[in-house]
Amino acid sequence: MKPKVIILTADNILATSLKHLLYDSLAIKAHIAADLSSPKVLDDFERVITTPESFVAHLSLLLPIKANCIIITDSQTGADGINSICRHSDESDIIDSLSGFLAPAKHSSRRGALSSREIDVLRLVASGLTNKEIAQQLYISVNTVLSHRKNITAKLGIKSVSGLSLYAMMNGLINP
Amino acid sequence: MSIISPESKLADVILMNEPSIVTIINRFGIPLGVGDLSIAGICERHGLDKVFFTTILNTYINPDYFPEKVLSSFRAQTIIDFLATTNAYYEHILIPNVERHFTLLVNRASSQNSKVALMLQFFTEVKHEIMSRIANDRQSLFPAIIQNKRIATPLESILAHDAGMEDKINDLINMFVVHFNEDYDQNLGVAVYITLRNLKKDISNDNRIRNRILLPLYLKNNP
Repeated sequence: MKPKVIILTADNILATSLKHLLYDSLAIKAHIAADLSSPKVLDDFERVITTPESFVAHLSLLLPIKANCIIITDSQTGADGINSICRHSDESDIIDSLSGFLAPAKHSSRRGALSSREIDVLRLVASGLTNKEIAQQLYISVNTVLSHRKNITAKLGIKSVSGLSLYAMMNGLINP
Repeated sequence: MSIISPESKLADVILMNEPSIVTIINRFGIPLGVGDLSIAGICERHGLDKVFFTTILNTYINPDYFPEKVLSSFRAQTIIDFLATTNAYYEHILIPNVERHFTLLVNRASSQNSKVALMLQFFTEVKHEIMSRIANDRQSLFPAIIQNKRIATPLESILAHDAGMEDKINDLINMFVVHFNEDYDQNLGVAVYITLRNLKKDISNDNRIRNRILLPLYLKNNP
């Protein structure tokens, strides 16, 4: 089942490019809006792709659903706590990141043991590597890394990189 | 949970809610020993705005209660004064309280128990983030809002920082509940857990007021 996506930005070129990218690469038909005429508009969508300016302009509506928003930023580093994707990334990386963001978590509320691959990813996240670096090191796509990370968070109940590092240290996966 | 009004008796509000509500009331300069007075009566005695006081209490008591229009109608200075008092509460009471219990827990743990020391290290990182936000509020954000000036830090960085801080406190709580399975002083462990939960609840309410009222107020003045 494809998620219902809204691209919220006043930047028409960015919005149109993203709309075509989503349709061509992921077969997702996205809706474009420069502004939200009414807060209820958001009820019709499951994911929001937006820019920092639009995120801030619709702060009171988007902040409570930040887990379902992704912000297109200028920076490669992103922000802890808010999903982001760098506008200067390669096309394939952008598609991978969007695909990971738009995919539902496989085990959203199930706690359990991590798989050996998830432990590999956890070790590298805890060591401070970016998703792209982890993908290169393990010879998997960024999308797969994102999917592993979603599952790790769902299983452990730990979201932040610092928290994952602590877990990895407490369990001897990396050295303190 | 029912919404309280200025006519509600403050003693009833305190008795019917979690003990942490007392810390909110203290931030307005009201100590325990509130007698039989209504909220309106107490506010009159202390020279407080009864609508603001009631709105803040409701915001902290009811997770689903967030009257944006009412809160937006208050002066920026009123909201900032409350947030500054909240910062002082974190700085001088709540964080030292968590730290004191945590340090005792580490000191009483066996030397083989390195996990609890790592958790204290993680808490110290969270503490530094909270302290740095407080310093930034004091030196940059609050004066900028009052003086209607722009701030250097991009707003999205402030939001990301706030969200990251909440995530980390949640992670630490999860660590205690789910993953921390070594021998430790149970009483102290529970004390750390309860103080962390209080910190999480308070920061989360504080962030709701900051991100949904204060920052939009700043944006309105600096489009």
